[in-house]
Amino acid sequence: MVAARTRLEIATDNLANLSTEGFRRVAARGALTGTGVSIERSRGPATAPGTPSGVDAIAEMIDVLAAERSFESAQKAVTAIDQSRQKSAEAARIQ
Amino acid sequence: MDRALFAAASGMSAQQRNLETIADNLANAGVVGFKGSVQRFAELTAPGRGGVGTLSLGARVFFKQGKLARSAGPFDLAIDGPGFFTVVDAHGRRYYTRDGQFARASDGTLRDARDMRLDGIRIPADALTATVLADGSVQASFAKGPAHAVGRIRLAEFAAPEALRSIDGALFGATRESGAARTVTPGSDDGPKLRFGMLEESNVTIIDAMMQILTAQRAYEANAKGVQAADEMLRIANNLQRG
Repeated sequence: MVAARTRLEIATDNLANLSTEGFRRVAARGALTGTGVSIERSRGPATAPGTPSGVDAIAEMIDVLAAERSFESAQKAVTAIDQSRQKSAEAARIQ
Repeated sequence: MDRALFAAASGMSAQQRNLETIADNLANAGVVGFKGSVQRFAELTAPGRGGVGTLSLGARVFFKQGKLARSAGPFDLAIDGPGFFTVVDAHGRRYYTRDGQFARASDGTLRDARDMRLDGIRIPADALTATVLADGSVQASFAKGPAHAVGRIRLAEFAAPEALRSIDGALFGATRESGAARTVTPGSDDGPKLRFGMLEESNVTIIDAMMQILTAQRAYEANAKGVQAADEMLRIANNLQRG
């Protein structure tokens, strides 16, 4: 969920800078860690002064949607884990 | 405030300002000598946390030459090339413009629609007609004797014209950043030339402005979707806490 949140932050920052001349787009890269997923930020190539930012609005919108869905999926996983633990606890109480 | 929400909201605010500037350009597309503006933005960053949205740096005027068109005014002038007419108000303050809609006043001065006089020129009361040559010299004809030059219009140039203070989009004031006005005599091969009986139209193209409006509108919508996505995530996170 934290990774999806970070991905959304990066996409919204890129979108906010659609009209910023010389803006260097930030790319989000997911990497597996021992405890989950972490997001690494990397700056795109510099654009020449006086030229529009290198942000593709459509690609960023897809990233926004993907981050939102990832967040929902992660939330469902958290809920599922929580429910299975709850059931385990109930089973232990019955025994 | 949530970072994603703030970034998307700052993007909406930026596009709103962008739209205001483009709408102002469009509204003045028919104003003689009007120079359009563009909003400038910079990325807003938080120390150690990367980008958190965008920030408006204000509007910057672009001094691209407007189209020259024939006109019917008695003393219409257009500048073909860089430079500005220097006009002086009733208090002696100097301003700079490329709006050349001048008319002869009773005191012999050439005045614009704002009643500011063109600096450095006065037409004698007994002159019947007057014309301006490409090099700025004003030729007047008289009832008695041959026509002759009665003065010369000189132009002003700046080291950094983009830093001039815009009064109304067509009238500008010098600033410390623009530097002091430098007097230029028109008519040289590579310098500006004056065109008598012509006016410089606004440098705003309606089609370009319409395209910019559409782009800004779509960018605004994209940022609004970012706000919605951030809001949805917060809603989900809140439900998670409730159990």
